[in-house]
Amino acid sequence: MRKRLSAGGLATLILGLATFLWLLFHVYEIRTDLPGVLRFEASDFLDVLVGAGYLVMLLFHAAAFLFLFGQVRRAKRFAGWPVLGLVTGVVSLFAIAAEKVMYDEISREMAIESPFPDEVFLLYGCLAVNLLFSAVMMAAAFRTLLRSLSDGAVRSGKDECVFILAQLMGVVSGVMGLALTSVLIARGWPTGRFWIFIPFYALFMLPYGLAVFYWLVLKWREKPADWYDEKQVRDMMKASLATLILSIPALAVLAFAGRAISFYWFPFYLFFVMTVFSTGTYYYFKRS
Amino acid sequence: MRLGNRLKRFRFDHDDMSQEDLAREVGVTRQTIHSIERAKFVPSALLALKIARFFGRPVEDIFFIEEE
Repeated sequence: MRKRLSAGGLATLILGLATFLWLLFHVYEIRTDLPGVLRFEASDFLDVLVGAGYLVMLLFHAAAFLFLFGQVRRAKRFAGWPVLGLVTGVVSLFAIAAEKVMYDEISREMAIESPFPDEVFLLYGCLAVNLLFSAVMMAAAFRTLLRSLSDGAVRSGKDECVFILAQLMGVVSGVMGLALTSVLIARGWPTGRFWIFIPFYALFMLPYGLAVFYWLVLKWREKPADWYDEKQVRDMMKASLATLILSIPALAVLAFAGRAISFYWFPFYLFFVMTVFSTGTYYYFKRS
Repeated sequence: MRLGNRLKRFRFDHDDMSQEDLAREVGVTRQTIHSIERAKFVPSALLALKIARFFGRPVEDIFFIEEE
């Protein structure tokens, strides 16, 4: 039986990479600006960035569990590594809960200007568990990917799995970017301080960017005309039309909002288009 | 009028071939084969001919016009 990398496996690989990179960045943040991370000094940006990172990490855990359950189900005999992965995953989930406790504890200690070396040590320990789990799952998903590439299974059927994954990641990235932009507009965040959210937008774009990059890696040897089958082309054309039609009222809202929107029309439009196009393509592809 | 087909029957007659296997043979997604079978998607002449060639039958044996 040929092995193939499921959507759960691809999502594990992509979200695992995003989680791993964010964790490295987060550790750096903690080392350099712990009060900012804990919003102890009213740093909205870092606070939101921490929240978004944890959201991506939770999505990664969900995808990893799906992938691991799939591996256990398909195994013909007792498979040690998926079970070990599940155990590590559960520990990693508990570590996330423990990190929340540590953040609260460190904030409390900071407020009364008390030292907190043990809490920081435990926090690093919990983050190390998350890092380990993301690294192990990335390696496992990558191994499965290499195997499936070697027997050609993933290349069958015009890479349907990757096509679907790219649309789903487009929806995830688009909705997150749209939500952040809407919050910034609603709160009247000054345009001059927009730049501090750029890494945040980059983090949101990461799942989609990685999915598209993976798609291009698979396709770069093929002629562009062979990248999609005729139904995929039709579905994307329908989604493009839907995007064009829906973007007119969206642009009208931006035009009427005028100065209140300011520079934010660009991220709003970008993520709106991404959300509608990806949702539309996925809908038309699966509907018929 | 719409385009009917006997794709499912031909697949079953062809050693219970799966949609995925047929999709791989003619270079499309499994979802495309599924949509053609359900008459939700009208294939291009090229794809219809590829399918017919794969089963070794004239295209009109597999695809036909259906009065609604």
